[in-house]
Amino acid sequence: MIEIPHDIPECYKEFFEQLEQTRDKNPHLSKFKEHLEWWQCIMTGSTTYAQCKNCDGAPRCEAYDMNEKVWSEM
Amino acid sequence: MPNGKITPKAIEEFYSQDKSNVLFWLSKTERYSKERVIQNCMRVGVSEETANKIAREIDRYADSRVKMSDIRPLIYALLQRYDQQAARRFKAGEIFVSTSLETFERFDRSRITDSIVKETGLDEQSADMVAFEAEKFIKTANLDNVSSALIREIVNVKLLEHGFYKERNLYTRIGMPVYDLTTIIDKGDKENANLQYNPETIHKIMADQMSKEYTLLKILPKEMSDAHLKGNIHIHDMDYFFSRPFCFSHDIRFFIKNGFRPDGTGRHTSIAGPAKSPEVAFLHAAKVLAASQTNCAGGQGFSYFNTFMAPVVAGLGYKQMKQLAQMFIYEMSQMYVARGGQVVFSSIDLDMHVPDMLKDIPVIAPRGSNAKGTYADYEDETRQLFNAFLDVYLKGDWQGKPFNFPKFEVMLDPKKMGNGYSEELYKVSELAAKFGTPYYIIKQPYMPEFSCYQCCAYLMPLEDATDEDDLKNGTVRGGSLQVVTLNLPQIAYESDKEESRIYELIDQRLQVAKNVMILRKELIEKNLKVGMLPFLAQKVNEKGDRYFEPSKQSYTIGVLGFNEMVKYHTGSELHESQESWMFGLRVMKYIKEKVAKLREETGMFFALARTPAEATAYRFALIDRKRYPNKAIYQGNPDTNAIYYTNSFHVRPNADIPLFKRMQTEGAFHPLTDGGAMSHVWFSDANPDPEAVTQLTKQLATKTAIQYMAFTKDLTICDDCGFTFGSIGDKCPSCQSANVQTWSRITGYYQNITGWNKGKLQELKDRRRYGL
Repeated sequence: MIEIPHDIPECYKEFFEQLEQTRDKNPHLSKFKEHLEWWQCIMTGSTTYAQCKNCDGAPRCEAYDMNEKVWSEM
Repeated sequence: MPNGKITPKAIEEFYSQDKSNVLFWLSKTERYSKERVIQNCMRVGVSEETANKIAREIDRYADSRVKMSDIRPLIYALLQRYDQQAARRFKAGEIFVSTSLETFERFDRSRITDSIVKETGLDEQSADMVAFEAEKFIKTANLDNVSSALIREIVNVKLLEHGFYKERNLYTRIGMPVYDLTTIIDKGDKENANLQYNPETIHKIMADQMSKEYTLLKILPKEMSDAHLKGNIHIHDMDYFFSRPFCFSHDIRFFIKNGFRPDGTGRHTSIAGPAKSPEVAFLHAAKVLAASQTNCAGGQGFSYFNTFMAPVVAGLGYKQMKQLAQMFIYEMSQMYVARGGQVVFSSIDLDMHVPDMLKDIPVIAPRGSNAKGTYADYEDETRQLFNAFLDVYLKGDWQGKPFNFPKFEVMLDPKKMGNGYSEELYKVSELAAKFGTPYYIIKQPYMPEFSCYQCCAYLMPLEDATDEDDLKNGTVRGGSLQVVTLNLPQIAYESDKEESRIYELIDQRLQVAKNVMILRKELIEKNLKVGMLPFLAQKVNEKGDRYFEPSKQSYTIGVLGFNEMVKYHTGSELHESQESWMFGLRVMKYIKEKVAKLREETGMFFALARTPAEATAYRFALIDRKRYPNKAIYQGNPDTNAIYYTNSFHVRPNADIPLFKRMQTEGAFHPLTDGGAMSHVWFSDANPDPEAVTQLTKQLATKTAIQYMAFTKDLTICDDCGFTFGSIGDKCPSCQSANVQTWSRITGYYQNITGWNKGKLQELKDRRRYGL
């Protein structure tokens, strides 16, 4: 069975870079770094939600805080 | 030649006129036979008895040493004796043709020539040559009856004999074999399970067949029709290709503000002013979707439905709101009037709370209502209406059956899931556990701010189609005008494990798909201009913008069979190795970039999506099995032809892997679409625990990249007592009746499985179901 690689696939890095470039039109989108962390968090579980706070209080981090709470309740 | 007297002068006169008759020349080489005399006489209308009488008389003078041409004057003379009209017909060599206008007309070759020139553009000389040969064939065939349809078939053969292939396509008739139609009349058709066996359906199937043939023969250039027929691509909704666009998402506020003209003009229907009461507003909403369905092939839905209806229900109690929700849902699941006697393919997007981007937008309220302010002021009503709809869905119909339409789409914001909306989320889970009804749109960080799902899971990136004015004026709308799906396994077989060749072939297929989309856009634009799509062509503002603008619609490129493609190329399936999964992601990213280039190149909103592929997954597998017998990899049972390709970038349906691994593997592909993506969880439990469903929802929303999903529970419904139970069974556990029907989610909607194709039924058997 597949083991999801720890390193983010190149094509995904490119994709998040491209998303970053559209942030002037879509300010709601997460930043590149946040996207990388999000990916690692959801795909490999290697990043804890607490570590995601590194992204400096961006809206996504609030989600992670909330998620952490959700998971702790499960 | 009065009284049938044969004189030399009469013979000379007869021959001089007879030389213009093709039968005369044919008879120059034909030897005399008594039977031919009888046939000749009967063809001009005399009875068998008279024909025999004439033949006996001639037989006294003639034998096989003479030619038929030598005895034609004799036949003529004797015919004159018995039936003067028949004699005249014989002399003229006339054939009577039964026409499509249900009349008999004298055969006239020049009419064939004229029609060939007019319908195919062939030059007159060639057309006349073809017509002459057709006439020769008809006259020597000794047919008792000649119909215009038969003449056309004969002309088509002659056109092909001369290499006029294109002209034959233009000249041919479109329809279906008598046997096929008899079968449909007697037994119905299984192609679309939403269609019941009824007279409307029979007419729809006939019309669909003609439309598809017409599209393949006349509308699509050879490059496109060949690509479709070879299974390189699948051009969806061929039956509506020349007439109407695919799916559409509406803004109910436009109708609250302006009233409703079902035909878009009011020339064929009454015109309703803006609704004054909530009941009328909800009824208008139901009728808007039905009216629009007459102009569209695919799903019709409302985005932000309960948010936009919140000011309409302001001041009402919960019971009244529920009554309105109930009325709307019943209308949408009972108006059995769309596209050949089926309900409207409808959906509603419901919000647990007012979306952030709508909070500052001034409300549009019914005529005479006191409702004012912005949508942020209607948070309570939005929430209550959400609950009211949910309660109706949870109860089911009078018998307790689920409502399969309107589809219920719920927007989930992972940030807010545990934040004051746990009651609503639990209720949604209850509904999923009971009937599998909800579809979850998960607002992932990579998603457009402003989007909705419609139809069979096509995301509408509304921000492309909608500007600030639309948001304020109540004209937020969008949809997919056309879908074309790429056959990825076939590309893998043709590229023979050479990755660069895969990309070349993708480019090639995308080029054809682009041309299909451009053609389709032109057709719909033309139809809007000439008034064929009156509902969609109605004006929405003083600038003259139409309700439906092809330039604002999505042009969807679908993908199918990622799993089989990577299996052929790498030797392992998507879920089996990192290499295959990474290869799949690379290909997906490549297609995404190419689709983005098509957007730049054409200015059209090309979008990459997964395809529901209810028929396509089966069709592609069947085609490839024949075309690539030593290479094709497919799922299902080849012995019974119940084969299929795995949908989009899904993991093989019967792969025995943990649910979370499945969702994670598939979920990685979701961000690489332009929105249209869906993953499925198939429940094995007859009665899943709603709390477990809630936890699973939270897990999938926050720990995978999935943007759209549904939990599917197989349902068996008893036709006798109405009892619904959550599994596939052949007997009702409540009343023991064997009169039961099974429902499941085919891909993007629930339906009775009796209409599923063989491949899809096999997939239903194969699905790996999960217990909670």
